[in-house]
Amino acid sequence: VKLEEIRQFAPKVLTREQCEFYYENGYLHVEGLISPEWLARLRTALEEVVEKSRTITKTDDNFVLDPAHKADAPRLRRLSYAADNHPGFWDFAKNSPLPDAVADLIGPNIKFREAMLNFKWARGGDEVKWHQDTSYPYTNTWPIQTLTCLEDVGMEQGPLMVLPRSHKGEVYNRYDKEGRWVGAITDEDLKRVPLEKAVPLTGPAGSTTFLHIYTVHGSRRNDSPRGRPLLLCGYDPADAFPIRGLPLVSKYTGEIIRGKETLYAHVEGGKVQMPPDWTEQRYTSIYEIQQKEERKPGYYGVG
Amino acid sequence: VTPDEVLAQPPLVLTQEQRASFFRDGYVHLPGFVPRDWLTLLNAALAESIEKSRAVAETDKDYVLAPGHTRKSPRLRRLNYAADNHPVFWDFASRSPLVDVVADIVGPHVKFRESMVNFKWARGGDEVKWHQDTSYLYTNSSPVVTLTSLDEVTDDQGPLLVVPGSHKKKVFRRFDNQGRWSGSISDADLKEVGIENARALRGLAGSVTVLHTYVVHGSKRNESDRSRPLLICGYEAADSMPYRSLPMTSRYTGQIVRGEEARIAHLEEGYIPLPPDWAKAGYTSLYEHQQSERRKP
Repeated sequence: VKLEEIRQFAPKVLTREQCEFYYENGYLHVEGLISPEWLARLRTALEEVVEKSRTITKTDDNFVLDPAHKADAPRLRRLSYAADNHPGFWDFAKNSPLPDAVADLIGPNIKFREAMLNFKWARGGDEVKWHQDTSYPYTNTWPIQTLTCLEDVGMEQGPLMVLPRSHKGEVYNRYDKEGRWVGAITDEDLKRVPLEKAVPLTGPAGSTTFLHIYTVHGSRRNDSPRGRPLLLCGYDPADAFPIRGLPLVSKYTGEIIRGKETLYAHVEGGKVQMPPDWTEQRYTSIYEIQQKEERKPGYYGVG
Repeated sequence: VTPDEVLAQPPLVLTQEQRASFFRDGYVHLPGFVPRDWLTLLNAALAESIEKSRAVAETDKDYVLAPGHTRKSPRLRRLNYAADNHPVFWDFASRSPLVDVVADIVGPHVKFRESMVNFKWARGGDEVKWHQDTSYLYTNSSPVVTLTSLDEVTDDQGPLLVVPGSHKKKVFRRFDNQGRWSGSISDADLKEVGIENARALRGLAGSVTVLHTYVVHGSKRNESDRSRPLLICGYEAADSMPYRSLPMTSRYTGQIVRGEEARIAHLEEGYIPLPPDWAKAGYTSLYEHQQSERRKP
Protein backbone atom coordinates (compact mmCIF):
# COMPACT_ATOMS: atom_id res chain seq x y z
CA VAL A 1 0.00 0.00 0.00
CA LYS A 2 0.99 3.56 -0.52
CA LEU A 3 -0.22 6.55 1.43
CA GLU A 4 -1.99 8.09 -1.55
CA GLU A 5 -3.94 4.84 -2.03
CA ILE A 6 -4.94 4.63 1.62
CA ARG A 7 -6.16 8.20 1.54
CA GLN A 8 -8.67 7.25 -1.16
CA PHE A 9 -10.67 5.25 1.39
CA ALA A 10 -12.97 7.09 3.78
CA PRO A 11 -12.01 6.25 7.37
CA LYS A 12 -14.70 4.32 9.25
CA VAL A 13 -13.96 4.79 12.94
CA LEU A 14 -11.21 7.39 13.02
CA THR A 15 -11.35 10.91 11.66
CA ARG A 16 -9.32 12.06 8.70
CA GLU A 17 -7.38 14.33 11.08
CA GLN A 18 -6.48 11.40 13.31
CA CYS A 19 -5.17 9.44 10.32
CA GLU A 20 -3.11 12.40 9.15
CA PHE A 21 -1.75 12.84 12.68
CA TYR A 22 -0.55 9.22 12.55
CA TYR A 23 1.19 9.66 9.22
CA GLU A 24 2.84 12.86 10.38
CA ASN A 25 3.85 11.79 13.89
CA GLY A 26 4.22 8.02 13.67
CA TYR A 27 1.71 7.40 16.44
CA LEU A 28 -1.86 8.11 17.39
CA HIS A 29 -3.40 8.02 20.85
CA VAL A 30 -7.17 7.57 20.95
CA GLU A 31 -9.58 7.58 23.87
CA GLY A 32 -13.08 6.18 23.60
CA LEU A 33 -12.50 3.84 20.66
CA ILE A 34 -12.91 0.82 22.91
CA SER A 35 -16.35 0.61 24.52
CA PRO A 36 -16.86 -0.14 28.24
CA GLU A 37 -18.32 -3.54 27.18
CA TRP A 38 -15.19 -4.52 25.26
CA LEU A 39 -13.05 -3.28 28.14
CA ALA A 40 -14.99 -5.35 30.64
CA ARG A 41 -14.51 -8.48 28.53
CA LEU A 42 -10.79 -7.82 28.19
CA ARG A 43 -10.46 -7.40 31.95
CA THR A 44 -12.24 -10.69 32.55
CA ALA A 45 -9.85 -12.38 30.15
CA LEU A 46 -6.95 -10.68 31.93
CA GLU A 47 -8.09 -11.98 35.32
CA GLU A 48 -8.45 -15.47 33.94
CA VAL A 49 -4.97 -15.62 32.50
CA VAL A 50 -3.45 -14.17 35.67
CA GLU A 51 -5.32 -16.85 37.61
CA LYS A 52 -3.90 -19.48 35.30
CA SER A 53 -0.38 -18.18 35.86
CA ARG A 54 -0.51 -19.32 39.51
CA THR A 55 0.29 -22.85 38.36
CA ILE A 56 3.29 -21.69 36.35
CA THR A 57 6.65 -21.79 38.09
CA LYS A 58 8.99 -21.10 35.21
CA THR A 59 8.86 -18.80 32.22
CA ASP A 60 7.51 -20.81 29.31
CA ASP A 61 6.41 -20.12 25.73
CA ASN A 62 3.35 -18.26 27.00
CA PHE A 63 4.06 -16.71 30.39
CA VAL A 64 7.11 -14.54 30.97
CA LEU A 65 7.39 -14.38 34.76
CA ASP A 66 8.81 -11.67 36.96
CA PRO A 67 11.59 -13.13 39.14
CA ALA A 68 9.34 -12.69 42.23
CA HIS A 69 6.36 -14.58 40.77
CA LYS A 70 4.65 -16.98 43.21
CA ALA A 71 1.49 -19.05 43.16
CA ASP A 72 -0.11 -16.98 45.91
CA ALA A 73 1.14 -13.66 44.52
CA PRO A 74 1.48 -13.70 40.74
CA ARG A 75 3.85 -11.22 39.14
CA LEU A 76 3.96 -11.30 35.37
CA ARG A 77 5.92 -9.52 32.73
CA ARG A 78 4.24 -10.75 29.63
CA LEU A 79 1.75 -13.17 28.22
CA SER A 80 2.94 -14.03 24.71
CA TYR A 81 0.40 -15.32 22.17
CA ALA A 82 -2.45 -13.64 24.04
CA ALA A 83 -4.93 -14.44 21.25
CA ASP A 84 -4.09 -18.15 21.48
CA ASN A 85 -4.27 -18.16 25.23
CA HIS A 86 -7.70 -16.67 25.63
CA PRO A 87 -10.53 -16.46 23.08
CA GLY A 88 -11.50 -13.08 24.52
CA PHE A 89 -8.28 -11.56 23.26
CA TRP A 90 -8.68 -13.08 19.81
CA ASP A 91 -12.27 -11.90 19.65
CA PHE A 92 -11.10 -8.40 20.48
CA ALA A 93 -8.20 -8.51 18.02
CA LYS A 94 -10.50 -9.63 15.24
CA ASN A 95 -13.97 -8.26 15.89
CA SER A 96 -13.61 -5.05 17.89
CA PRO A 97 -13.34 -1.54 16.44
CA LEU A 98 -9.57 -1.86 16.89
CA PRO A 99 -8.88 -3.52 13.50
CA ASP A 100 -11.35 -1.08 11.92
CA ALA A 101 -9.13 1.74 13.13
CA VAL A 102 -6.08 -0.12 11.84
CA ALA A 103 -7.74 -0.40 8.43
CA ASP A 104 -8.36 3.35 8.51
CA LEU A 105 -4.64 3.89 9.09
CA ILE A 106 -2.92 1.32 6.88
CA GLY A 107 -5.51 0.36 4.28
CA PRO A 108 -8.50 -1.95 3.99
CA ASN A 109 -6.73 -5.31 3.69
CA ILE A 110 -5.35 -6.32 7.06
CA LYS A 111 -3.49 -9.34 8.38
CA PHE A 112 -3.15 -10.20 12.03
CA ARG A 113 0.45 -10.55 13.24
CA GLU A 114 0.59 -11.10 16.99
CA ALA A 115 -0.96 -10.30 20.33
CA MET A 116 0.57 -10.14 23.78
CA LEU A 117 -0.06 -8.67 27.19
CA ASN A 118 2.58 -6.53 28.81
CA PHE A 119 1.75 -6.37 32.51
CA LYS A 120 4.18 -3.83 33.96
CA TRP A 121 3.27 -5.08 37.40
CA ALA A 122 2.80 -2.79 40.41
CA ARG A 123 5.90 -1.89 42.45
CA GLY A 124 8.70 -2.69 40.08
CA GLY A 125 7.22 -3.50 36.65
CA ASP A 126 10.06 -3.27 34.20
CA GLU A 127 11.39 -0.36 32.30
CA VAL A 128 11.32 -0.88 28.54
CA LYS A 129 14.27 0.88 27.01
CA TRP A 130 14.02 3.09 23.95
CA HIS A 131 13.62 1.06 20.79
CA GLN A 132 11.93 0.78 17.41
CA ASP A 133 9.94 -2.30 16.45
CA THR A 134 12.62 -3.61 14.13
CA SER A 135 12.72 -7.22 15.31
CA TYR A 136 10.25 -8.11 12.55
CA PRO A 137 11.22 -6.47 9.24
CA TYR A 138 8.68 -6.67 6.42
CA THR A 139 8.77 -5.93 2.70
CA ASN A 140 7.34 -2.51 3.49
CA THR A 141 7.08 -0.19 6.46
CA TRP A 142 3.31 -0.28 7.05
CA PRO A 143 3.10 -2.93 9.81
CA ILE A 144 1.54 -1.38 12.91
CA GLN A 145 1.45 -2.05 16.63
CA THR A 146 -1.57 -1.22 18.78
CA LEU A 147 -1.43 -0.87 22.56
CA THR A 148 -4.65 -0.84 24.54
CA CYS A 149 -4.61 0.17 28.23
CA LEU A 150 -6.65 -2.20 30.39
CA GLU A 151 -6.33 0.11 33.42
CA ASP A 152 -6.04 3.86 33.85
CA VAL A 153 -2.47 4.97 33.15
CA GLY A 154 -0.96 8.01 34.86
CA MET A 155 2.61 9.25 34.99
CA GLU A 156 3.44 7.13 38.02
CA GLN A 157 2.65 3.85 36.19
CA GLY A 158 5.37 4.33 33.61
CA PRO A 159 3.23 5.22 30.59
CA LEU A 160 4.26 4.54 27.02
CA MET A 161 6.54 7.33 25.81
CA VAL A 162 6.86 8.04 22.10
CA LEU A 163 9.07 10.34 20.12
CA PRO A 164 6.89 12.12 17.55
CA ARG A 165 8.06 12.01 13.92
CA SER A 166 10.95 9.68 14.75
CA HIS A 167 9.51 7.19 12.22
CA LYS A 168 10.68 9.53 9.49
CA GLY A 169 14.24 9.63 10.76
CA GLU A 170 17.02 7.17 11.32
CA VAL A 171 16.47 3.44 11.76
CA TYR A 172 18.87 2.61 14.55
CA ASN A 173 21.31 -0.25 14.82
CA ARG A 174 20.26 -3.08 17.14
CA TYR A 175 23.53 -5.01 17.42
CA ASP A 176 26.05 -4.48 20.19
CA LYS A 177 29.83 -4.38 19.72
CA GLU A 178 30.02 -8.14 20.16
CA GLY A 179 27.56 -8.61 17.33
CA ARG A 180 24.68 -9.67 19.54
CA TRP A 181 21.12 -8.50 18.97
CA VAL A 182 20.03 -6.11 21.67
CA GLY A 183 16.50 -5.13 22.55
CA ALA A 184 17.13 -1.39 22.57
CA ILE A 185 18.84 1.46 20.79
CA THR A 186 22.50 1.50 21.86
CA ASP A 187 23.69 4.14 24.34
CA GLU A 188 25.95 5.56 21.69
CA ASP A 189 23.09 6.09 19.24
CA LEU A 190 20.78 7.37 21.99
CA LYS A 191 22.93 10.50 22.21
CA ARG A 192 21.57 11.45 18.80
CA VAL A 193 17.93 10.85 19.75
CA PRO A 194 16.13 13.98 20.98
CA LEU A 195 14.46 12.17 23.86
CA GLU A 196 13.50 15.46 25.55
CA LYS A 197 10.78 15.70 22.88
CA ALA A 198 9.22 12.35 23.83
CA VAL A 199 5.55 12.43 24.79
CA PRO A 200 4.02 10.34 27.60
CA LEU A 201 0.72 8.72 26.62
CA THR A 202 -1.38 8.65 29.76
CA GLY A 203 -5.08 8.01 29.64
CA PRO A 204 -8.07 6.19 31.01
CA ALA A 205 -8.55 2.46 30.65
CA GLY A 206 -9.58 1.67 27.08
CA SER A 207 -7.22 4.21 25.53
CA THR A 208 -5.37 2.88 22.51
CA THR A 209 -2.11 3.89 20.93
CA PHE A 210 -1.20 3.07 17.34
CA LEU A 211 2.52 2.91 16.59
CA HIS A 212 4.50 2.92 13.37
CA ILE A 213 7.27 0.26 13.42
CA TYR A 214 10.01 2.89 13.26
CA THR A 215 8.64 5.20 15.97
CA VAL A 216 11.07 5.38 18.87
CA HIS A 217 9.30 4.40 22.09
CA GLY A 218 9.90 3.08 25.59
CA SER A 219 8.55 3.32 29.12
CA ARG A 220 9.80 3.76 32.66
CA ARG A 221 9.57 1.41 35.57
CA ASN A 222 6.27 1.18 37.38
CA ASP A 223 6.96 1.90 41.06
CA SER A 224 3.34 2.68 41.85
CA PRO A 225 0.97 0.39 43.72
CA ARG A 226 -1.10 -0.16 40.52
CA GLY A 227 -0.20 -2.35 37.57
CA ARG A 228 -0.25 -1.16 33.97
CA PRO A 229 -1.55 -4.03 31.86
CA LEU A 230 -1.40 -3.29 28.16
CA LEU A 231 -2.78 -5.47 25.38
CA LEU A 232 -0.63 -5.31 22.25
CA CYS A 233 -2.15 -6.39 18.96
CA GLY A 234 0.00 -6.13 15.85
CA TYR A 235 -1.29 -5.98 12.29
CA ASP A 236 0.16 -5.78 8.79
CA PRO A 237 -1.23 -4.72 5.45
CA ALA A 238 -2.05 -7.79 3.37
CA ASP A 239 0.66 -6.88 0.85
CA ALA A 240 3.45 -6.74 3.47
CA PHE A 241 5.43 -9.94 4.01
CA PRO A 242 8.02 -10.70 6.66
CA ILE A 243 11.56 -10.98 5.31
CA ARG A 244 12.81 -12.73 8.44
CA GLY A 245 11.39 -15.44 10.69
CA LEU A 246 9.02 -13.65 13.08
CA PRO A 247 9.65 -13.61 16.84
CA LEU A 248 6.11 -14.70 17.70
CA VAL A 249 4.19 -16.89 15.30
CA SER A 250 0.83 -18.21 16.38
CA LYS A 251 -1.91 -20.05 14.57
CA TYR A 252 -3.49 -16.69 13.80
CA THR A 253 -0.39 -15.00 12.36
CA GLY A 254 -1.06 -13.99 8.77
CA GLU A 255 -4.82 -14.45 9.02
CA ILE A 256 -6.73 -11.85 7.01
CA ILE A 257 -9.14 -10.13 9.37
CA ARG A 258 -10.24 -7.16 7.26
CA GLY A 259 -10.59 -7.02 3.49
CA LYS A 260 -8.92 -9.71 1.43
CA GLU A 261 -5.63 -11.26 0.43
CA THR A 262 -3.77 -9.36 -2.22
CA LEU A 263 -2.37 -10.69 -5.48
CA TYR A 264 0.74 -8.56 -5.20
CA ALA A 265 3.46 -7.99 -2.63
CA HIS A 266 4.50 -4.42 -2.06
CA VAL A 267 8.24 -4.04 -1.60
CA GLU A 268 9.69 -0.70 -0.54
CA GLY A 269 13.22 -0.17 -1.77
CA GLY A 270 16.02 0.25 0.73
CA LYS A 271 18.49 -1.39 3.07
CA VAL A 272 17.16 -3.05 6.20
CA GLN A 273 19.11 -4.45 9.13
CA MET A 274 18.27 -8.10 9.74
CA PRO A 275 17.48 -9.31 13.25
CA PRO A 276 18.40 -12.89 14.08
CA ASP A 277 16.21 -15.49 12.42
CA TRP A 278 13.77 -16.07 15.26
CA THR A 279 12.54 -19.32 13.81
CA GLU A 280 16.03 -20.67 14.41
CA GLN A 281 16.88 -18.74 17.57
CA ARG A 282 14.21 -19.10 20.24
CA TYR A 283 12.70 -15.73 21.08
CA THR A 284 11.61 -15.10 24.63
CA SER A 285 10.90 -11.47 25.26
CA ILE A 286 12.27 -8.00 25.00
CA TYR A 287 12.63 -7.91 28.79
CA GLU A 288 15.08 -10.73 28.85
CA ILE A 289 16.98 -9.43 25.87
CA GLN A 290 17.20 -5.93 27.33
CA GLN A 291 18.18 -7.17 30.75
CA LYS A 292 20.52 -9.88 29.53
CA GLU A 293 18.97 -12.49 31.77
CA GLU A 294 19.45 -16.15 31.04
CA ARG A 295 21.72 -15.32 28.17
CA LYS A 296 23.34 -18.36 26.72
CA PRO A 297 26.47 -18.24 24.62
CA GLY A 298 25.89 -18.19 20.90
CA TYR A 299 22.30 -17.13 21.35
CA TYR A 300 22.50 -13.70 19.69
CA GLY A 301 21.78 -12.26 23.09
CA VAL A 302 18.34 -13.78 23.26
CA GLY A 303 17.68 -15.36 26.63
CA VAL B 1 23.72 -5.52 -4.27
CA THR B 2 23.05 -3.68 -7.50
CA PRO B 3 24.50 -4.53 -10.93
CA ASP B 4 26.78 -1.52 -10.62
CA GLU B 5 28.12 -2.74 -7.29
CA VAL B 6 28.70 -6.18 -8.76
CA LEU B 7 30.46 -4.84 -11.83
CA ALA B 8 32.73 -2.68 -9.66
CA GLN B 9 34.27 -5.85 -8.17
CA PRO B 10 36.96 -7.57 -10.23
CA PRO B 11 35.58 -10.72 -11.89
CA LEU B 12 36.84 -14.20 -11.02
CA VAL B 13 36.11 -16.21 -14.14
CA LEU B 14 33.88 -14.19 -16.43
CA THR B 15 34.96 -11.32 -18.61
CA GLN B 16 33.55 -7.90 -17.87
CA GLU B 17 31.70 -8.13 -21.20
CA GLN B 18 30.06 -11.41 -20.16
CA ARG B 19 28.90 -9.89 -16.90
CA ALA B 20 27.57 -6.81 -18.67
CA SER B 21 25.74 -9.05 -21.15
CA PHE B 22 24.06 -10.86 -18.28
CA PHE B 23 22.62 -7.63 -16.95
CA ARG B 24 21.69 -6.46 -20.45
CA ASP B 25 20.20 -9.72 -21.78
CA GLY B 26 19.12 -11.47 -18.58
CA TYR B 27 21.32 -14.49 -19.22
CA VAL B 28 24.84 -15.53 -20.07
CA HIS B 29 25.79 -18.76 -21.83
CA LEU B 30 29.20 -20.34 -21.23
CA PRO B 31 29.91 -23.11 -23.73
CA GLY B 32 31.93 -26.00 -22.33
CA PHE B 33 32.61 -24.20 -19.05
CA VAL B 34 32.67 -27.15 -16.65
CA PRO B 35 36.09 -28.84 -16.41
CA ARG B 36 36.21 -32.42 -17.64
CA ASP B 37 36.91 -33.89 -14.18
CA TRP B 38 33.83 -32.30 -12.72
CA LEU B 39 31.75 -33.38 -15.66
CA THR B 40 32.82 -36.99 -15.23
CA LEU B 41 31.87 -36.87 -11.55
CA LEU B 42 28.51 -35.29 -12.33
CA ASN B 43 27.66 -37.86 -14.95
CA ALA B 44 28.54 -40.68 -12.57
CA ALA B 45 26.23 -39.12 -9.96
CA LEU B 46 23.56 -38.80 -12.60
CA ALA B 47 23.89 -42.47 -13.56
CA GLU B 48 23.64 -43.49 -9.90
CA SER B 49 20.54 -41.37 -9.41
CA ILE B 50 18.88 -42.93 -12.43
CA GLU B 51 19.86 -46.39 -11.20
CA LYS B 52 18.22 -45.64 -7.87
CA SER B 53 15.02 -44.54 -9.58
CA ARG B 54 14.38 -48.11 -10.71
CA ALA B 55 13.12 -48.82 -7.21
CA VAL B 56 10.75 -45.86 -7.32
CA ALA B 57 7.27 -46.78 -8.48
CA GLU B 58 5.48 -43.50 -7.81
CA THR B 59 6.49 -39.88 -7.89
CA ASP B 60 7.80 -38.93 -4.46
CA LYS B 61 9.43 -35.85 -2.98
CA ASP B 62 12.71 -36.62 -4.74
CA TYR B 63 11.80 -38.28 -8.02
CA VAL B 64 9.25 -36.88 -10.44
CA LEU B 65 8.57 -39.76 -12.80
CA ALA B 66 7.64 -39.40 -16.46
CA PRO B 67 4.75 -41.42 -17.87
CA GLY B 68 6.02 -44.84 -18.91
CA HIS B 69 8.61 -45.13 -16.13
CA THR B 70 9.34 -48.75 -15.22
CA ARG B 71 11.96 -50.55 -13.20
CA LYS B 72 13.39 -51.93 -16.40
CA SER B 73 13.33 -48.73 -18.34
CA PRO B 74 13.43 -45.58 -16.19
CA ARG B 75 11.88 -42.39 -17.51
CA LEU B 76 12.34 -39.37 -15.30
CA ARG B 77 11.21 -35.80 -15.38
CA ARG B 78 13.05 -34.42 -12.45
CA LEU B 79 15.21 -35.24 -9.49
CA ASN B 80 14.35 -32.70 -6.79
CA TYR B 81 16.81 -31.77 -4.05
CA ALA B 82 19.72 -32.98 -6.17
CA ALA B 83 22.28 -31.74 -3.63
CA ASP B 84 20.62 -33.74 -0.86
CA ASN B 85 20.34 -36.82 -3.00
CA HIS B 86 23.95 -37.08 -4.07
CA PRO B 87 27.03 -35.55 -2.41
CA VAL B 88 28.67 -34.86 -5.77
CA PHE B 89 25.84 -32.53 -6.70
CA TRP B 90 26.34 -30.64 -3.46
CA ASP B 91 30.11 -30.50 -3.97
CA PHE B 92 29.58 -29.11 -7.42
CA ALA B 93 26.98 -26.60 -6.23
CA SER B 94 29.07 -25.39 -3.29
CA ARG B 95 32.74 -25.73 -4.26
CA SER B 96 33.17 -25.92 -8.01
CA PRO B 97 34.06 -23.11 -10.43
CA LEU B 98 30.29 -22.73 -10.90
CA VAL B 99 30.21 -20.73 -7.66
CA ASP B 100 32.81 -18.37 -9.14
CA VAL B 101 30.49 -17.71 -12.06
CA VAL B 102 27.63 -16.96 -9.69
CA ALA B 103 29.82 -14.68 -7.57
CA ASP B 104 30.72 -12.75 -10.72
CA ILE B 105 27.01 -12.09 -11.22
CA VAL B 106 25.45 -11.72 -7.76
CA GLY B 107 28.50 -10.40 -5.93
CA PRO B 108 30.98 -11.96 -3.51
CA HIS B 109 28.41 -13.13 -0.94
CA VAL B 110 26.46 -16.04 -2.35
CA LYS B 111 23.60 -18.01 -0.86
CA PHE B 112 22.52 -21.41 -2.13
CA ARG B 113 18.82 -21.91 -2.74
CA GLU B 114 18.07 -25.21 -4.44
CA SER B 115 19.21 -27.78 -6.95
CA MET B 116 17.52 -30.29 -9.20
CA VAL B 117 18.09 -32.33 -12.30
CA ASN B 118 15.70 -31.88 -15.22
CA PHE B 119 15.98 -34.94 -17.42
CA LYS B 120 13.91 -34.14 -20.50
CA TRP B 121 13.96 -37.80 -21.37
CA ALA B 122 14.45 -39.10 -24.90
CA ARG B 123 11.38 -39.39 -27.14
CA GLY B 124 8.87 -37.18 -25.44
CA GLY B 125 10.62 -35.30 -22.64
CA ASP B 126 8.30 -32.49 -21.68
CA GLU B 127 7.93 -29.07 -23.10
CA VAL B 128 8.46 -26.35 -20.52
CA LYS B 129 6.18 -23.42 -21.29
CA TRP B 130 7.34 -19.81 -21.22
CA HIS B 131 7.83 -18.52 -17.72
CA GLN B 132 9.95 -16.42 -15.40
CA ASP B 133 11.41 -17.92 -12.23
CA THR B 134 8.90 -16.32 -9.93
CA SER B 135 7.70 -19.27 -7.88
CA TYR B 136 10.04 -17.87 -5.23
CA LEU B 137 10.11 -14.21 -4.31
CA TYR B 138 13.09 -12.42 -2.87
CA THR B 139 13.57 -8.86 -1.71
CA ASN B 140 15.65 -8.07 -4.78
CA SER B 141 16.17 -9.42 -8.28
CA SER B 142 19.54 -11.07 -7.63
CA PRO B 143 18.34 -14.71 -7.65
CA VAL B 144 19.76 -16.73 -10.54
CA VAL B 145 19.54 -20.28 -11.72
CA THR B 146 22.47 -21.97 -13.35
CA LEU B 147 21.78 -24.74 -15.85
CA THR B 148 24.60 -27.12 -16.52
CA SER B 149 24.15 -29.51 -19.45
CA LEU B 150 25.44 -32.92 -18.52
CA ASP B 151 25.37 -34.04 -22.12
CA GLU B 152 25.58 -32.33 -25.47
CA VAL B 153 22.44 -30.38 -26.34
CA THR B 154 21.33 -30.27 -29.94
CA ASP B 155 18.37 -28.60 -31.64
CA ASP B 156 16.18 -31.68 -31.71
CA GLN B 157 16.48 -32.16 -27.94
CA GLY B 158 14.49 -29.11 -27.01
CA PRO B 159 17.28 -26.78 -25.96
CA LEU B 160 16.65 -23.98 -23.48
CA LEU B 161 15.05 -20.97 -25.16
CA VAL B 162 15.67 -17.53 -23.70
CA VAL B 163 14.20 -14.16 -24.66
CA PRO B 164 17.04 -11.61 -24.38
CA GLY B 165 16.15 -8.49 -22.45
CA SER B 166 12.80 -9.86 -21.27
CA HIS B 167 13.90 -9.57 -17.62
CA LYS B 168 13.50 -5.82 -17.94
CA LYS B 169 9.89 -5.85 -19.17
CA LYS B 170 7.79 -6.74 -16.17
CA VAL B 171 7.00 -9.52 -13.77
CA PHE B 172 4.16 -11.52 -15.28
CA ARG B 173 1.45 -13.38 -13.42
CA ARG B 174 1.44 -17.15 -13.81
CA PHE B 175 -2.19 -17.91 -13.03
CA ASP B 176 -4.89 -19.12 -15.41
CA ASN B 177 -8.28 -17.47 -15.90
CA GLN B 178 -9.71 -19.42 -13.00
CA GLY B 179 -7.06 -18.01 -10.70
CA ARG B 180 -5.13 -21.27 -10.45
CA TRP B 181 -1.34 -21.35 -10.62
CA SER B 182 -0.46 -22.42 -14.16
CA GLY B 183 3.28 -21.99 -13.92
CA SER B 184 3.38 -20.28 -17.31
CA ILE B 185 2.83 -16.84 -18.80
CA SER B 186 -0.60 -16.43 -20.41
CA ASP B 187 -0.92 -16.21 -24.20
CA ALA B 188 -2.17 -12.65 -23.87
CA ASP B 189 0.90 -11.61 -21.87
CA LEU B 190 3.22 -13.50 -24.21
CA LYS B 191 2.45 -10.95 -26.94
CA GLU B 192 4.35 -8.42 -24.84
CA VAL B 193 7.35 -10.68 -24.42
CA GLY B 194 8.58 -11.00 -27.99
CA ILE B 195 9.25 -14.74 -27.98
CA GLU B 196 10.09 -14.53 -31.68
CA ASN B 197 13.42 -13.12 -30.51
CA ALA B 198 14.18 -16.15 -28.34
CA ARG B 199 17.57 -17.74 -28.66
CA ALA B 200 18.18 -21.48 -28.42
CA LEU B 201 21.10 -22.40 -26.18
CA ARG B 202 22.71 -25.48 -27.63
CA GLY B 203 26.15 -26.68 -26.77
CA LEU B 204 28.58 -29.32 -25.72
CA ALA B 205 28.30 -31.17 -22.44
CA GLY B 206 29.45 -28.96 -19.60
CA SER B 207 27.97 -25.76 -20.98
CA VAL B 208 26.52 -23.50 -18.34
CA THR B 209 23.73 -20.97 -18.68
CA VAL B 210 23.00 -18.45 -15.96
CA LEU B 211 19.47 -17.04 -15.95
CA HIS B 212 18.18 -13.89 -14.30
CA THR B 213 15.12 -14.56 -12.15
CA TYR B 214 12.89 -12.45 -14.42
CA VAL B 215 14.16 -13.51 -17.86
CA VAL B 216 11.47 -15.33 -19.88
CA HIS B 217 12.48 -18.84 -20.87
CA GLY B 218 11.11 -22.24 -21.85
CA SER B 219 11.95 -25.25 -23.97
CA LYS B 220 10.34 -27.56 -26.50
CA ARG B 221 9.65 -31.26 -26.22
CA ASN B 222 12.56 -33.60 -26.71
CA GLU B 223 11.69 -35.77 -29.72
CA SER B 224 15.22 -37.07 -30.16
CA ASP B 225 16.66 -40.41 -29.10
CA ARG B 226 18.81 -38.84 -26.42
CA SER B 227 17.77 -37.39 -23.07
CA ARG B 228 18.77 -33.85 -22.17
CA PRO B 229 19.80 -33.93 -18.52
CA LEU B 230 20.35 -30.51 -17.02
CA LEU B 231 21.62 -29.84 -13.52
CA ILE B 232 19.94 -26.75 -12.13
CA CYS B 233 21.49 -24.94 -9.18
CA GLY B 234 19.88 -21.77 -7.82
CA TYR B 235 21.55 -19.02 -5.82
CA GLU B 236 21.01 -15.46 -4.76
CA ALA B 237 23.02 -12.63 -3.24
CA ALA B 238 23.36 -13.01 0.52
CA ASP B 239 21.44 -9.76 1.02
CA SER B 240 18.39 -11.11 -0.79
CA MET B 241 15.72 -12.50 1.55
CA PRO B 242 12.77 -14.69 0.62
CA TYR B 243 9.38 -13.36 1.71
CA ARG B 244 7.16 -16.13 0.49
CA SER B 245 7.50 -19.79 1.39
CA LEU B 246 9.87 -21.42 -1.10
CA PRO B 247 8.65 -24.24 -3.33
CA MET B 248 11.63 -26.38 -2.39
CA THR B 249 13.68 -26.08 0.75
CA SER B 250 16.35 -28.51 1.73
CA ARG B 251 18.88 -28.49 4.53
CA TYR B 252 21.21 -26.53 2.27
CA THR B 253 18.72 -23.80 1.40
CA GLY B 254 20.00 -20.48 2.70
CA GLN B 255 23.51 -21.76 3.22
CA ILE B 256 26.26 -19.28 2.34
CA VAL B 257 28.54 -20.93 -0.21
CA ARG B 258 30.77 -17.91 -0.79
CA GLY B 259 31.52 -14.87 1.36
CA GLU B 260 29.48 -14.05 4.43
CA GLU B 261 25.94 -13.84 5.67
CA ALA B 262 24.39 -10.41 5.20
CA ARG B 263 23.25 -8.39 8.16
CA ILE B 264 21.69 -5.78 5.89
CA ALA B 265 18.98 -6.88 3.48
CA HIS B 266 18.64 -5.12 0.16
CA LEU B 267 15.08 -4.42 -0.97
CA GLU B 268 14.10 -3.34 -4.48
CA GLU B 269 10.96 -1.27 -4.81
CA GLY B 270 8.06 -2.93 -6.59
CA TYR B 271 4.66 -4.57 -6.71
CA ILE B 272 5.34 -8.22 -7.40
CA PRO B 273 2.68 -10.82 -8.32
CA LEU B 274 2.52 -13.46 -5.63
CA PRO B 275 2.88 -17.17 -6.31
CA PRO B 276 0.81 -19.52 -4.13
CA ASP B 277 1.95 -19.90 -0.55
CA TRP B 278 3.71 -23.23 -1.06
CA ALA B 279 3.80 -23.96 2.65
CA LYS B 280 0.01 -24.17 2.47
CA ALA B 281 -0.58 -25.18 -1.15
CA GLY B 282 2.16 -27.79 -1.52
CA TYR B 283 4.49 -27.82 -4.49
CA THR B 284 4.92 -30.78 -6.82
CA SER B 285 6.75 -29.69 -9.92
CA LEU B 286 6.55 -27.25 -12.74
CA TYR B 287 5.69 -30.04 -15.15
CA GLU B 288 2.66 -31.05 -13.24
CA HIS B 289 1.49 -27.49 -12.76
CA GLN B 290 1.96 -26.62 -16.39
CA GLN B 291 0.31 -29.79 -17.62
CA SER B 292 -2.56 -29.65 -15.16
CA GLU B 293 -1.89 -33.10 -13.82
CA ARG B 294 -2.93 -33.81 -10.28
CA ARG B 295 -4.34 -30.35 -10.13
CA LYS B 296 -6.80 -30.07 -7.34
CA PRO B 297 -9.97 -28.03 -7.72
